[in-house]
Amino acid sequence: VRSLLLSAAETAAAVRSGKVRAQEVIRASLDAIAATRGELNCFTDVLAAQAVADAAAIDLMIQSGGDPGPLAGVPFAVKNLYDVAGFRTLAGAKITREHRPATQDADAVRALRTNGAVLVGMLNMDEFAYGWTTENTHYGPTKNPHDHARTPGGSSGGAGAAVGAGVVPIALGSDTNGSIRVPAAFCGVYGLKPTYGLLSRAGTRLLSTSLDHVGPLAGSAEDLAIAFRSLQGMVPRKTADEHPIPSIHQLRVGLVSNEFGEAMPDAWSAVEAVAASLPVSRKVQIPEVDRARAAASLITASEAATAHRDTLQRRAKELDPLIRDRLLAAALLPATTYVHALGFKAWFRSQLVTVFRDLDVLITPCTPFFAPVIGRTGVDTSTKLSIGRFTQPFSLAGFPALSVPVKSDTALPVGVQLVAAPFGEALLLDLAAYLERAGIVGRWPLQRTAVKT
Amino acid sequence: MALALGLRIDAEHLPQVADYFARLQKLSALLDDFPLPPEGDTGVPS
Repeated sequence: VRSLLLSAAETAAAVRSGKVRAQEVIRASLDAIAATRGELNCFTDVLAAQAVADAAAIDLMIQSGGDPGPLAGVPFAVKNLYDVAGFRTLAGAKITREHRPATQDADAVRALRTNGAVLVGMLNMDEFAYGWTTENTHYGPTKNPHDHARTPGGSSGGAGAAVGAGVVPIALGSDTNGSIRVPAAFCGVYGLKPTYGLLSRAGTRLLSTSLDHVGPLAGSAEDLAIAFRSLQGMVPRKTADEHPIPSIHQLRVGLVSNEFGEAMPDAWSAVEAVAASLPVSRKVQIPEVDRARAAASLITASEAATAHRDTLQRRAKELDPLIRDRLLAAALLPATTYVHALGFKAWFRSQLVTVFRDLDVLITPCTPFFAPVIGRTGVDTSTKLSIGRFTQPFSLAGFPALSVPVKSDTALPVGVQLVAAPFGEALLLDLAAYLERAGIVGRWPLQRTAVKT
Repeated sequence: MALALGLRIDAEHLPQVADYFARLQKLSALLDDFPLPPEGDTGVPS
């Protein structure tokens, strides 16, 4: 049963056919969480009793001839900024412990549960999602499942680590500047930031209303597709049946030029490995990427400071020091800076629309380096600020982007980012599945985690 | 300015806040140098 935790599709098939009971799967997931919790610190809350009860209800439905849905009995976990009925939404903060429990599930949580998935827990994150490394002072740092001395990335670090460790096949994260794609890359799994506005954010604790996206992380391309389509409220089907790629050679694929940003040689090698299996026709230059990063940072800062202004005024001392000082600085930014950044955002988006008139997919590195070592002195501010070098510009434009884990002989996982025009998620998911079948990408093998299959 | 906004910054945290603010100003200066299209013309293709 434990091996099923690596595949949502196989789990759901086994549960729906009656080969395995949902309760067995959920108990295996809870056991795996318990075995790794102390070491990895992915979870802030484990919802064991509720999960076992939900699994029992699914088993009962199947025994009665019903179909719980395409995610029947699949355990999943959510970044602790999604509302879950009956539980407090912490958003990585201490002061939120005083809040009342949520009265209903966030839309995204409800969408997965409606399709038969079973929520097993809520995941660690940077406070208010305003960070890159999940080094949370209140709840402790989350560890990378492939090297416990390193960060899983952030701010959806708990999600990346939980999927990377194989304790759940699917998790939900959020992405403002790269917070789904970066943990996916660092933890050797898949992560999708959909088109801005496509998925409902209702019931989530927002950081930056102009840039926040919700989306899934998963251990395979198929699972990512199933999760995404469930989030859209669609009935999941096999990607290839729904949106076949007529011929991979008909795709117009671009490779981002080296001027896009500096990265370690292994990051570019990974990009070349992906590019070698696709019909790359040209190198693509993205205009004004440094300014795009600047605009994304300024918009995030301004909106985050606005969202938490009351806390900054009254209870700043209770915030994570790593976050508090940045929020205080952001609160001092003039409105003119924010307005100018929004103006640039509109201009930059128009430039990308033009670029993608002649392009179906763009390939870029996902992160400029491997997962950094945990520690405030080890991950200095300049490193933190550059983690999102390749992800930020596409967050600013709101274009869909998918991080795939590239198979390589490197010591740590390395991700490549696939970007499409708005609403091009089906293409990205198909492409990820194609690359997986071709043996170019695939989840990073479990090496140092307690869960072996 | 911080006081006017209702923010209290402890002396011990002031250097870090000042450092972050300087970084944000640097980013802002990058954008200040960039001429945006006139209002109403974002350049978005119809």
